[in-house]
Amino acid sequence: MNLKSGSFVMLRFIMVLAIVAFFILGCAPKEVPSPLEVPSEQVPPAVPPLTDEEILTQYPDTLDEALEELDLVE
Amino acid sequence: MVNRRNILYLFVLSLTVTIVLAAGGGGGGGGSGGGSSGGGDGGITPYADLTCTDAGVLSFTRGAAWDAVTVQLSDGSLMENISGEWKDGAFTSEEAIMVKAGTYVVLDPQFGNKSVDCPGLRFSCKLVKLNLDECTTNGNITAAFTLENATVDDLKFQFSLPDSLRKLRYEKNSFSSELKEMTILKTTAAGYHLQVKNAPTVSELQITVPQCVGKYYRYTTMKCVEKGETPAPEETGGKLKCGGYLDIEDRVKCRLDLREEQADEYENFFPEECRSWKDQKKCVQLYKAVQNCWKLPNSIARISCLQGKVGIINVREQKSACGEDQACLQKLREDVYTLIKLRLYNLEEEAEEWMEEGKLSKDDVADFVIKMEQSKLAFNQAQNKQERKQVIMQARQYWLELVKKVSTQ
Repeated sequence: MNLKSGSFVMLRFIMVLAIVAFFILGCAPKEVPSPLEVPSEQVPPAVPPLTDEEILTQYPDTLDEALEELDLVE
Repeated sequence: MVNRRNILYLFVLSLTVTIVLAAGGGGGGGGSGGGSSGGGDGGITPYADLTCTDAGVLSFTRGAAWDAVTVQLSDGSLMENISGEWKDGAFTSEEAIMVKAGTYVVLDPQFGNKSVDCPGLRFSCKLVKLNLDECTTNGNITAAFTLENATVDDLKFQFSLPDSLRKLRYEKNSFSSELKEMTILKTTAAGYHLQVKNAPTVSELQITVPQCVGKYYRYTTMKCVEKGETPAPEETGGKLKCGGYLDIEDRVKCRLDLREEQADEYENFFPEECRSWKDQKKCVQLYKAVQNCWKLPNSIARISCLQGKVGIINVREQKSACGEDQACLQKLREDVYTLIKLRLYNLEEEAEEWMEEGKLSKDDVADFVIKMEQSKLAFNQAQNKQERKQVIMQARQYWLELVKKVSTQ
């Protein structure tokens, strides 16, 4: 094997790339947990309960119209 | 020196390739696991919920409805065209179909045969036979009734008192103090004799099977007469439907259980509010007139429809058009009252839709519907504007409480 040949220079270049890639991959944080790992529990951010006014905006009862109509006829 | 460095490079390269390949293998394993779990996350697998109850009911989700549900018994005989209801791709047979305990096989030409173990029939409302033969009242109460395929412990007895809304009740582990001396003796294979000594005068007796409310109308009612008088005719649940129950709770729960094909039986029902109207026919006519509005998809459309039916388009303008015409103003006032009560009814519809979507339990909706019906009665009984406003505000509070249950479930 002629270690000075051009193909060996190429091989060395690939080796360096592979080592760099190895360190990059090895040091990068693992995104896929091992099947044996228990994922940490996700705590949902606390959502304040809806106020009565917010509920009536989202789920209107039409009773405000009833009160207005009652006011008009009585 | 150069050779040594190159040999070192070659060594590190081979080591790197080995490690990278090993890591790749691990990654592949993880991917495989993810794929496996993902495969089970789809919709309901046909027949995954195949069950058979001790009421003799076979049920399963299949996706597509299938005309001729056929089941094979362990002896090889077939039960073809099993009667039942398809809803959203799920089949529920009638009660008392799967009578004998054992393993049955559902013969499905599309999804393959599925076997299911049935516990055997224990109790079915469909098989209960209940009839009242007589009821007399004169210091003592006596009644005769027949009962098949159920026990006396399954029954609830209710007595109406003349000129009173109060009811005397007797059921297993619970009874009104006036009925503490009530006894029930078995007289024949299916016959029973009921007696209450030293009882107040009662006007009516109703016997129900509480666990059958909403199923097959298994209850019976009879006016109680004085001894020697001609017995009053029996009125059965099959004729009275949901509207014949003495308890509003039973009437409401019964209506909530109605299957779609039973909706046509609405003509047999008596709207709750009409019970308090002097002109009950007029009340029933009103509810019939607005019935089409409930078929509309949302509150906005339904309220608009109700406004059209009642004749309330713009109260301010209509009031102005009435001027000093007191009859016109009175008519407008009554129409507004009617629309307000129909708005409460609309909320009942909303609650029932949530129940059908699985967002609310039947008990929560039944409680809400009862509160709305009681609100309508309170509105009718209110003496002035302030009291009517209080009823509306209280109804709004009930609505808020209901919506909070939707958002937290």
